[in-house]
Amino acid sequence: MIRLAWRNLQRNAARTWLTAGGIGFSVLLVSFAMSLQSGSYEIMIDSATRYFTGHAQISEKSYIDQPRLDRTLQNVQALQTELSAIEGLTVFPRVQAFAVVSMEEKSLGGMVVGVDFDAERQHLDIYDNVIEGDVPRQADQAMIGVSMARNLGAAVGDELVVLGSGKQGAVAAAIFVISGIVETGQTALDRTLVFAPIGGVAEAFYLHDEAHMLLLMVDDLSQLNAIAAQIEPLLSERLTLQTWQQLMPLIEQSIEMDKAGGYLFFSLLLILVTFAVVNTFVMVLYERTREFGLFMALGMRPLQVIGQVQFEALLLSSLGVALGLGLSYPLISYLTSVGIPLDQMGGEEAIQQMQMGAMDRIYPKATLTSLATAPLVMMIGTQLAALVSTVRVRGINPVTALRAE
Amino acid sequence: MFSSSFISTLAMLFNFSLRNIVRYRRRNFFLFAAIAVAVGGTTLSNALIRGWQVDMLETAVSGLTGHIKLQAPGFADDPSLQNAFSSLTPISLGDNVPILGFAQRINIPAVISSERETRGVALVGVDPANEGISLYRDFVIEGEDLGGPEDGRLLIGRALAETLQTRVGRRVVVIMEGADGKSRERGYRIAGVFDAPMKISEELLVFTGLEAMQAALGNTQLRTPITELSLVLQAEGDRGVAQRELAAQHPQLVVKDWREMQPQVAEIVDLVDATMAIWFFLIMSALTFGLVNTLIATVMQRTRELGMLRALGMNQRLLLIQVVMECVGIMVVGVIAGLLLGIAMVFGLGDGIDLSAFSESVEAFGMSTVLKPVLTLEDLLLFGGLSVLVGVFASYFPARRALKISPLMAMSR
Amino acid sequence: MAISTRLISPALQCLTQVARRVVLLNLALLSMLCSTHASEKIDVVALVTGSIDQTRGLSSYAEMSMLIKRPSWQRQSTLKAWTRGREDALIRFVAPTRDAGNALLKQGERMWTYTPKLNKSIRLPGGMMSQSWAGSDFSYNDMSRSDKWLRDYTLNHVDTEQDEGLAVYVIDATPREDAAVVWGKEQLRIREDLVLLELTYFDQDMEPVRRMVSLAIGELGGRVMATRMRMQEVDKPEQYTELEYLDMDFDVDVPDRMFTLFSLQSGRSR
Repeated sequence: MIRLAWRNLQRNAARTWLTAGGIGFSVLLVSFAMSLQSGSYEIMIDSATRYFTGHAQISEKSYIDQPRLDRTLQNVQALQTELSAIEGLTVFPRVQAFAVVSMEEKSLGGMVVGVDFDAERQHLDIYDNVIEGDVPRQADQAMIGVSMARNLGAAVGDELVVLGSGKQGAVAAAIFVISGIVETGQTALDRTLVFAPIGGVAEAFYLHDEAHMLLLMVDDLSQLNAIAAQIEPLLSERLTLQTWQQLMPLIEQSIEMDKAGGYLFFSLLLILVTFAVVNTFVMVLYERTREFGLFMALGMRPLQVIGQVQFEALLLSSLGVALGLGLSYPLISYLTSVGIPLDQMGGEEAIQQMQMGAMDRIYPKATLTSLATAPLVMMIGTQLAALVSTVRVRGINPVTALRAE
Repeated sequence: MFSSSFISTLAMLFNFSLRNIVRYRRRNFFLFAAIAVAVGGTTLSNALIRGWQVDMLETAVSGLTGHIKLQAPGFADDPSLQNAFSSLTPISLGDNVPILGFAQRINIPAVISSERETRGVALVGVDPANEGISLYRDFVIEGEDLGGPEDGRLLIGRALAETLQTRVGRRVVVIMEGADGKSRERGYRIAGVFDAPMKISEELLVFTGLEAMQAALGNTQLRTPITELSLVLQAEGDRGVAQRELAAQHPQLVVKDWREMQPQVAEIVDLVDATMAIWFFLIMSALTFGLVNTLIATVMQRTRELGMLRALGMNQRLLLIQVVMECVGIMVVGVIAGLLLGIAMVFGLGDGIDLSAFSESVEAFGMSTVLKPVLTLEDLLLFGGLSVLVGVFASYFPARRALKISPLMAMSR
Repeated sequence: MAISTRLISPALQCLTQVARRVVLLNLALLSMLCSTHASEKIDVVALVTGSIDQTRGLSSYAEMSMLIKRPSWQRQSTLKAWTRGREDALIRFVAPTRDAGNALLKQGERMWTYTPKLNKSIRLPGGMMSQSWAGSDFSYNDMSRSDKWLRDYTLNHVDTEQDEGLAVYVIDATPREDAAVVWGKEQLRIREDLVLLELTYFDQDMEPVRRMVSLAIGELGGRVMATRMRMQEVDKPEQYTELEYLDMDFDVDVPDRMFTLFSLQSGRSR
């Protein structure tokens, strides 16, 4: 059967190859684009979450509703140790407080963020955006955003006074020497944040063994939900875990929007090619009407003819898919390790604005979905196309067929 | 070359091609469908993307930026009256650069307080009559609009009003830096509350009359200081010329266009054009396979016919023209169907696609929540024209095939 | 019919007589009341000014204790305060040790806060003035504007009450149109001996939002004044701040240099 089908296909080699080519081209395109999408989404998510927010955060429910200094995680050290025991998870604490930040005569409102620099530097990318000086290394140093530095007229080495309301209303005050200036590209961050070592900040605000949030970073993002499930039972009633989807709905929505656009394009392409394939088969049918008439006169039943055509269709689509995947898979594999430099693609400013952080290359990721969708659709489409074209076979009158051109 | 006989020959060929197309219309139905889907789908997605692009552009330009903005040099670093310039700064551009309008404003940071809350905002002193060029004109205002530049009341956004727990007719206190660098505090009545397409405008922008604000801030060396002048042109393309001219006229000021002030929007806008071109190219490539296939088949089917024509004396060139014509003809039919389909789908979308499920992302990209497709004649003509070119290109292979047909070969079939 | 008309006439006469007497009685009462008011036509401005000055004098020195109470904790501290006129003031924490040395300086329109831990003084930006001072229910604004009532408000005497034999005047202070005041109105209850009994802040819907009540009145520094006051938000009865005056001296000799940044930072107290 196969050989027959193959010979039939070969009767018009050009047509066969063109059709297979069309199928192959669309398979190549769609599988590559989907892999690219999937790879870039992963990177987008990773980049955005690794920048400042983390993969997930634990804080008090009331703190999320309205952030106030006294809504802290109590006994945070014990909690941190307990959570660190979970595989593939790193946890670090943060303290945040609103304060007046002033330098000499100028003051403005800001947010002091107490951070464990050693731990965070290994996992978060915001610290790579220090444009002047360096990350604080000593307890009395702090890092501020570039807009705040500009508004205060401050530079590295200057002294910053921070005054706020500590726990139970006590006056919280601290002096920091500016060790570095960071530029995130986000006005909100650059204008209000003062980063300082967490120990000093907690002490200044009279917080003992407390933090406002625990940042969670997992080694493998796909494990996040599993790990979250492990954490939930360890948290008391007052605490809650938020994943990056809840912390930054922007990212997920952007991805969804992009996916929607992609589906539009892919559908268009695949429908297009399917129609072209249908057309091919219709032409084939017209050409072989006489042939089929002969077969049927010789005793072959219409269903068998249809089956024959179906088989040819299968062979054809397999050829096309093989062609397409044969080209796309090596391409994807190659690019997965090398990556596509972003500046070739444009859009760096836009990406920076979206809190993407450091993302200079995109790596496509071959997944089952990205590689299998197009072939599957095309193969089913081709079978259907063949079916549609053979709809008239049953009506073939061998006599009239033999007389046809 | 355009002798009358040639033209009549062409006409004959044209008729011939047309008849062929019609004759095989059933067989080629799906090809027409494929072309129609390609062109129609592309038209639709193009209209959507164009709509997105236009939306982003409009939002960026109307958000107090305008096409071009003039500011004093130190203003970016120190947004206060210390870095103001005179409102009498003349704006004169040649007739070749028509202006839609320009607005003078004072735009400085301020702190607004109600009985219950305090927030940081941008206080913008405007002349409402000139704000037809900005997002101001689209405000849906509850209460009253500002009466004029001398109106000392406030127009605040709904989101801000809700945060402050205040409303129309109430008083709030605004603290800002005066001309002398000292803090000034005053009570202001809220004249109206506005709803804007983007929530962030409602949260950050507070409007008052320009002259009232000048009076409240005190005297500088200038009697009528402003901190920014925003200009909107009739044609966005005149941007470059306008910027250069204004920069030359006012060397003491900083003249920026919207692309410099909002680089991320500029980038996305450019990206969109590139994306559309790539999409079109890819879709047409996919289509070409099917097109060439069909056309070769058509040629092969008519071997005998074509051979006979050759035998009758039709020269190669005419044959070529005929094949190309037929190919282009098929393409044209499909393209017309496709364009009609695309236009129908665009109109079928009505007001546009509701994107409110993606509200965060949409606002971050500076879009409004309804994506309205935009069909421009240029886009339609471009696609139509390019598609036809694809048809011409695709006809190369079948044409070559056709040329190889010798009369003898045909006859023997 | 003839009989009833006969009866009505004298009945009517009777009635009219009664009515007339009632009316006269009412008129008398009314005029009495009016004259009470009339005779009590007070100079509101003078009353309010007097009340302010009662606790200030040309200058003053006070020792106070402050109690901040919250549902889950409370804190008590001791302070010393100096004032000069209505413009300048210096407040310094003395106890407990954690707070000792923290100070607040007011010079006219400007305020600075000093913390000994840093040995630095910070000028308070205008936008911070509505924030709470030292974690209490008093804002920096509260600490700074004592003569605002004369400047930014229109004062109206709306009622008179009685308290232990003394008249208490209820004064509504309504902010002028463009005054930098967020409140709908403030209502003061001032006793005829110039003691401020109560101060209530109303929002612009005329709902009370904050209230300061004098809990105890006594004599300090030779003057009758409120010795213990409680400030709280009306809808949060579980939290409040109480200020109690322990000692007070009026028209003391306070050197001018006390109200300077230098003095703020040098931390000297008498």
